[in-house]
Amino acid sequence: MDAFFAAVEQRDNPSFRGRPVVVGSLPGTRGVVSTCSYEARRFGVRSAMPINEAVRRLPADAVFVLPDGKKYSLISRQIMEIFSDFSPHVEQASVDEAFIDMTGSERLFGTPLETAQKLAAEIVKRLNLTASIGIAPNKFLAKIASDMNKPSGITATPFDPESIRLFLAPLPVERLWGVGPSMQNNLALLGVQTVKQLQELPESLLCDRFGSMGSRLAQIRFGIDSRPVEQHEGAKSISREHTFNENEYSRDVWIDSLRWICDDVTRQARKANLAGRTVTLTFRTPDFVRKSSSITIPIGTDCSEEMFRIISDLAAKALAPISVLRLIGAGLSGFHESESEQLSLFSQSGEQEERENWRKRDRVVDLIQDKFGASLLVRGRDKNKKQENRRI
Amino acid sequence: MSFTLGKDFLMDIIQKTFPVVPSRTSLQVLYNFKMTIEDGMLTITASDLDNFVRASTTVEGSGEAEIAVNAKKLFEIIREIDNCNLTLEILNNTLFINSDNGFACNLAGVDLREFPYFPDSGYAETFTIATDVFRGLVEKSSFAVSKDESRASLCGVLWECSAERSGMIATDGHRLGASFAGYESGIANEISVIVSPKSLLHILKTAEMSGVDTIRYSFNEKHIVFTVDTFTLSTKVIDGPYPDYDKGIPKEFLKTAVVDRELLHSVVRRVSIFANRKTQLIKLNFVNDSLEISAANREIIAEGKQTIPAKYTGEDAHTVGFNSAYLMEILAIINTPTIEFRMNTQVSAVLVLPVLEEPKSDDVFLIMPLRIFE
Repeated sequence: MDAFFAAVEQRDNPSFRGRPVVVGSLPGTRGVVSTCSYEARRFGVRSAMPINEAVRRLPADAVFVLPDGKKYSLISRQIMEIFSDFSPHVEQASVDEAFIDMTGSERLFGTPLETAQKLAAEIVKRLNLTASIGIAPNKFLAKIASDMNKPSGITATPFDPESIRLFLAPLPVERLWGVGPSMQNNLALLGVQTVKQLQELPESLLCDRFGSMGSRLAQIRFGIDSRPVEQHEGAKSISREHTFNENEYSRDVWIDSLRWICDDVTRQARKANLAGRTVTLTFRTPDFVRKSSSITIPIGTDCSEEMFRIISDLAAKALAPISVLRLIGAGLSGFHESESEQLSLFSQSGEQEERENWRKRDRVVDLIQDKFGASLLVRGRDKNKKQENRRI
Repeated sequence: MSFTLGKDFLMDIIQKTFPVVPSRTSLQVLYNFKMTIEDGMLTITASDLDNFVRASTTVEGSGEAEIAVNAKKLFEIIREIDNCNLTLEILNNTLFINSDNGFACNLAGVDLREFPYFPDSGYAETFTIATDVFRGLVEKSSFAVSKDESRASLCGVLWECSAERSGMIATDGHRLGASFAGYESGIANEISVIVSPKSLLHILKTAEMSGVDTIRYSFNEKHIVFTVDTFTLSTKVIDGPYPDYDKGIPKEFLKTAVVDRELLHSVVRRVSIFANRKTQLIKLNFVNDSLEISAANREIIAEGKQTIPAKYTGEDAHTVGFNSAYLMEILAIINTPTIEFRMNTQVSAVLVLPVLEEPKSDDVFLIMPLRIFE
């Protein structure tokens, strides 16, 4: 989708149309840009840019809005429904991106180009939003192609190996799947900045230098990608982070943040009917060093209080030498379905009852918050606290 | 001085002692066998500090000698030698092995003084137990020991002995196995000790390998010593206290069901293929005269079920969830044609008992259910 969150806001608020729209944190806070409209991109605003930097760059008519996750995920589902009308093989890659395997559908929808045009028209017709589409023999090339003519572009890559090689040759290496900043640096040391230069390196050099990543690069530089289009397996992890408005020195505030983060993360897990065995604490000091620490428990949890106790133990150890934080977060992964819980012979009276009480409380809180909103029901201990930037 | 013995006799005592040699230890000397030749007997000793084993065999030749050599190397060498007579010689702290058929090797010894002392003295009395009684007790309990080393006592088997009765109990909190047998032990006061399942299985295996029908044992506060023929195993008693397991075993039941054991076992095995890999949840639904066993895997969207006859007594239908692996383990250990489930609620302990006419069995198998979230 093109500038998805921003496009949705422009669609739903006619007054935003034609103006730079930034979806992300509010100006004056320390958050970042999530998505911005094409009007904002003209001023050099990009995703993940600090919000205050965006403010500096944009003219006075720019609009800043908080993201409305609920709305976007609803629209995301509608988009995926449209895709599934075209093919049963849809792999959702993110909230607004998907791979669609159209193998064997010519007789239904016509040539690939015709199919893409029909798909794009359907999205405009049903949702009044625009998408960019890449047509290619595999997922990697499709992603490259879809990024080439945004917005509303339909781009097809060649299908024969020699033409694919030439098609990729002029691109910078960072466009390749798996080449991040550190790989980009490593390749620059070899004098490699474009895909063409990478294509000229011997495969053995790549493999010796970069191991398994090297052999992957050896394939991907020629546009070879054998990953199938897979049905989405569901979330692999659920996490939430909070950036403090000011560098935060108070341990109490850190721990309070973890408490509501655990509430939020486990609430999402419960909604997805998942219990996670790995609990991860993440934090960032003002020098932007990011660290994490995690622990795996024998039976997965979706219980806020239990996760909070585990994360508090982790925090007690990991944060002991730290005096100031910029960001703190917590996550749950290693999921299994929370369909059952092994009962124990020795903790029947105490521990188990306690867990059962936590579970009941979580369910009741979920019910009330679903119906009346998250702000109606808060912990007694949080009632008089400043609700710093807090949104559930 | 040199000694002669058949390869098989040496291999026999190596096999009985090698399992105790630790695979990783900070005390280097424990990687070695201590070999002692005295009065026409070759004795091999091994230890991991918690357990000590000693096995002996007769040798031809006179004189005395001792050496400590790498246990793994000796085991590997002797295993590869064809069956023949071996001549062993200990000279300048080196073990020389020559076989009848021309193989020759030598192994340097390590410092013997570091080898730990075998704690087998200071026992007042020795008792005996028949090997088959011992096997019953060990097999029906040791499967349930905990693997969680943070609760050391649950990692062992609780052995309760009195004058006329002996029982072994193990539980990891999720299931429990308890087996009791009546026999004249000769023990005056009641004794209960916590023993590692590994050493119980070791002594059982050795007794069975040697075809011996009685196992001798003696206690003190710190160790139990078992003896089978010329084989001795001393194991450190695990520190208690052991939790009050009896408190967890329900005595009254609202629902019971009698089921054919083998049929149930085969159905559980089949249906559990559909269980969630991680939780292994299967559901048992008792209604009137039948029992439905079902499992569903939401990850791969598959379910399986089968209904078998059951004599169920309970006012209403009753559904209970189990980890199928726990249930199968118990169904494999019980050897009676039918079993009885004794149940109360969906979240309370379930007894799975062998159904025996006479003599009545005191064996108890218990499983804690999986609480099912609807």
